Amino acid sequence: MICQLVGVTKSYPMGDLLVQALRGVNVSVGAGEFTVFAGPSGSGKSTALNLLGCLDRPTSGEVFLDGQNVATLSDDALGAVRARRIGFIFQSFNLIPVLTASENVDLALRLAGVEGSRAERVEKALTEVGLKDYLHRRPSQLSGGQQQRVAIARALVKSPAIVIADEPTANLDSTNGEAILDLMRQMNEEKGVTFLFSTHDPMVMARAKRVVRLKDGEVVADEVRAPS
Amino acid sequence: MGILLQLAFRNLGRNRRRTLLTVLTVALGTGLLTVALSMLTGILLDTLKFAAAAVGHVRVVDPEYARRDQLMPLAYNLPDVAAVVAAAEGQPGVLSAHPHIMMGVTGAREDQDIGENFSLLHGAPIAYYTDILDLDVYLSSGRLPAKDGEAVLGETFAAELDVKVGGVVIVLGQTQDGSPSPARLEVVGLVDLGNKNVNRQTFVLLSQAQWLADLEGGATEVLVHTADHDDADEVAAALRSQSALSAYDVAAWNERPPFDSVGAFLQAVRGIVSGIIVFITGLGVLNTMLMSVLERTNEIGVMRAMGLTSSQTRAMFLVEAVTIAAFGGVVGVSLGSGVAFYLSRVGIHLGEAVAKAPAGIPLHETVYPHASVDTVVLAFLLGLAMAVVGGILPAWRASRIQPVEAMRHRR
Repeated sequence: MICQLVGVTKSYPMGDLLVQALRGVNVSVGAGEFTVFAGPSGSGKSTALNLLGCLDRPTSGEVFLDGQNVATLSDDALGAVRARRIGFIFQSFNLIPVLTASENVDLALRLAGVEGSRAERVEKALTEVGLKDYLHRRPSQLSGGQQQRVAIARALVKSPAIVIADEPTANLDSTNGEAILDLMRQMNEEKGVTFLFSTHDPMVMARAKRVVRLKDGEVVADEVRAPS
Repeated sequence: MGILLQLAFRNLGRNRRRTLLTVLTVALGTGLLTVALSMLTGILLDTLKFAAAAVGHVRVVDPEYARRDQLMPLAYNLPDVAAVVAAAEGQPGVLSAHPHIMMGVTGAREDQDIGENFSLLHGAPIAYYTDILDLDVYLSSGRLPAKDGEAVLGETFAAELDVKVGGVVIVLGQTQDGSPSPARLEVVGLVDLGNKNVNRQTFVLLSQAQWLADLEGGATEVLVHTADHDDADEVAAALRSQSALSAYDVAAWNERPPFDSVGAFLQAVRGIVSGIIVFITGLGVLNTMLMSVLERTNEIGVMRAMGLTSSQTRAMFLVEAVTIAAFGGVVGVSLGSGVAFYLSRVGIHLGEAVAKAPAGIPLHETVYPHASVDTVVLAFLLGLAMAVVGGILPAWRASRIQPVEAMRHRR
């Protein structure tokens, strides 16, 4: 098991109200999974993803990553966990605009404290996502699909325990979206990379090996399915 | 640190117009600082030069005279001044030693009653006036006194008495025992020493002053001059150790009022001026950096998600601010040095405000900035301080951005 939420609640103050985003969620993600957290807006899927990605702390309950309870770690310790063990892919790609494709990927290695042989790893990661000829382009010189491929290379280059992908196809057209999903699925099957998505896109759900459905802050269904 | 420097440099090119404006703000600040500090240094050096000329690098007086310095008590004098001069001139490092008498007098024209026109009367050998005070250089008309009965007047005093070269004035001083002592003096020259208060002085030969004070062979003080005013402390210490001078008070110029406080005063003014310029320029940097943090909230969040620590985030923005300041600082001190160098040639006329300065602080109405490497380095370092002042708050705000908060921010 890679990561796990145990009896997790999360509430946010919103004006005078306290919004219950998660209400006692229990869910585990195993190595090599290609899992989707699905649900409508406000279902709690992004909150659950943030907690599993060590981006946030629960109001109550425990969050485990590789058997370690990360819910009580300090900010810097959580940062170190994210730098070394978690890859992120965002809806808006979120590359650093002043860095080239290879520098964006290299940044992940530098923040993870990787010394030496970084250039080879960066080139290999970008080659694997089909961007060997775009190493020195800046994000503004790349298409949306190409930017998301750089983001995938950035997430994978440090060989993380898990890749958290927050609606990774939402800003792409269907052709590019499918290509990106195929690429991630390929990484999952060939390299055993664990992916965890949040989405309400049927195209993403169709490719998932497992779909965890959330509604009003609770897990309402957990389906393991045959891949399409 | 490498990645932070790389990001800082790249981010400077992101909004070039804004970066340029901020660089210019810092350049203006450091340029102003260079000129202002050069000006204040010029005033300080001018004051020191004047101080050295007027009061001697080292002064030898009767200890009681030193205690009542402001009253210029003629009773506490150096009766055998020649012996004191000889002892002082024998000391290595001493260029010259001159006997000097100072007394307050009131003056009037021959056809007037003695009124309320006060003057500080100096009596000294002609060599003191020509070699030390450069009084001949400041003559606006006439010549220096050549014999007893002749005097040079400062222009303010002469104007108050309405007397010109060739005129006659009666001065009323006092003898060493306190008796009134008048003298009839022909005005042979007028001097403009650059300050209205300083121009309220009268200069006569030593023998004339000795006659006025009934101090034959004596003087109230011996003014010792060294090659450099910085040598004064060392020479004063050496003179103090001489047995011939052990009965006297020997003090370097910077140990005596008002010069013991002028330096500190000007340093305080330098500090205040620097502080104001650093603060205002820092606000410019603050504005730029805050805008930058707001614009890059999402990006900072992404980097924080990837493991950038809060201290690294702070450092990244401070490096950006310091880089801006370094560029601005180089431009600013270069331009500022040029302006200061030009002004050091032509001078800056400060006018009436300076003329109203207390008589004891000899500021000139025209000051000449003094641009030095020290000043340039200080202005540049203060430019970096501007960056730190303006960069701290934005850097702190950036470091407070939580990765999850940044994820909520969509472009």
